Amino acid sequence: MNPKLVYLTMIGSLLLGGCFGSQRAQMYSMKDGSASTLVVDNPGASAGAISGKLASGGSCHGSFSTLDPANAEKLASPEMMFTDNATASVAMLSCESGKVLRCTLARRTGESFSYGECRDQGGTEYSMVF
Amino acid sequence: MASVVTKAAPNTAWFFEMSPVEKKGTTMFKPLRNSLGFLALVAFASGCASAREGYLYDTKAPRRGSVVFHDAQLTEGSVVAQLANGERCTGKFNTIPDQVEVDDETRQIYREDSQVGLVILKCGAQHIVRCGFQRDHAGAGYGRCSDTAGSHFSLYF
Repeated sequence: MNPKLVYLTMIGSLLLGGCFGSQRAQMYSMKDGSASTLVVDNPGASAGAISGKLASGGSCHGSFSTLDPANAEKLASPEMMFTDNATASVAMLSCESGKVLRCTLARRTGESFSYGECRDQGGTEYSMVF
Repeated sequence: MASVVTKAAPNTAWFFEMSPVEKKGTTMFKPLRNSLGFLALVAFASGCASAREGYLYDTKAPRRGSVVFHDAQLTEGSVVAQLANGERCTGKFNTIPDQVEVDDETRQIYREDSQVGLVILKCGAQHIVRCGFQRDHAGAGYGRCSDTAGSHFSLYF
């Protein structure tokens, strides 16, 4: 096969797959230290899709949206800080394992995410730095 | 080529210790070598490779560990730490702006006077330390940390 064609096909696949427009982070359980993965599609947008894969193997899917930093702070642990000069987001993910994750995320306005944390219905916290 | 050694100083914004080391080489590469050496010096002097050292204080016992923020002038970077019990950790930090200066016309942020951020340190296989922190434009900061073992630390840098 023509090498140029292979190269163009690979680039096209990456673009169609949204690889250039997503942001990924390792999400650590603050209960047992296990590492899960969180992927935000189109991280520069004010709202969008978010997905993850738990350390146990189950997939999670959900969405994120923007909210007032003061409200985000009420939902988060003391270590998670938000400011009026940055953007706060909240996300909900439903996982195959039955877990539901509620996340708060911080980022520079108009840029990709900086850090965040999630909490499941059992109270376990998960932290991430992008 | 001149080599540069950076060294983080405790509670000092950005401290550099530069020691040029002469090595034998061909005359043909001498101008290039000098240029690269100069560029390296400029890069290091402008803070491209700065680090900042600090401490992780145990809140339940009179002991402390150490922490070094690599690329401390950047908005994100890597961190290494050694806890008071000798456990070594590696991780990364990222920040968002806190107090800022805004251009009156464009309403764009042109200077961040302070930032808040989060550090996650991976220590043992199942030991994670996370710290929320605030730092000023010179890099000095304070934070509070918790870990998977339920311990709490205070972070000063």
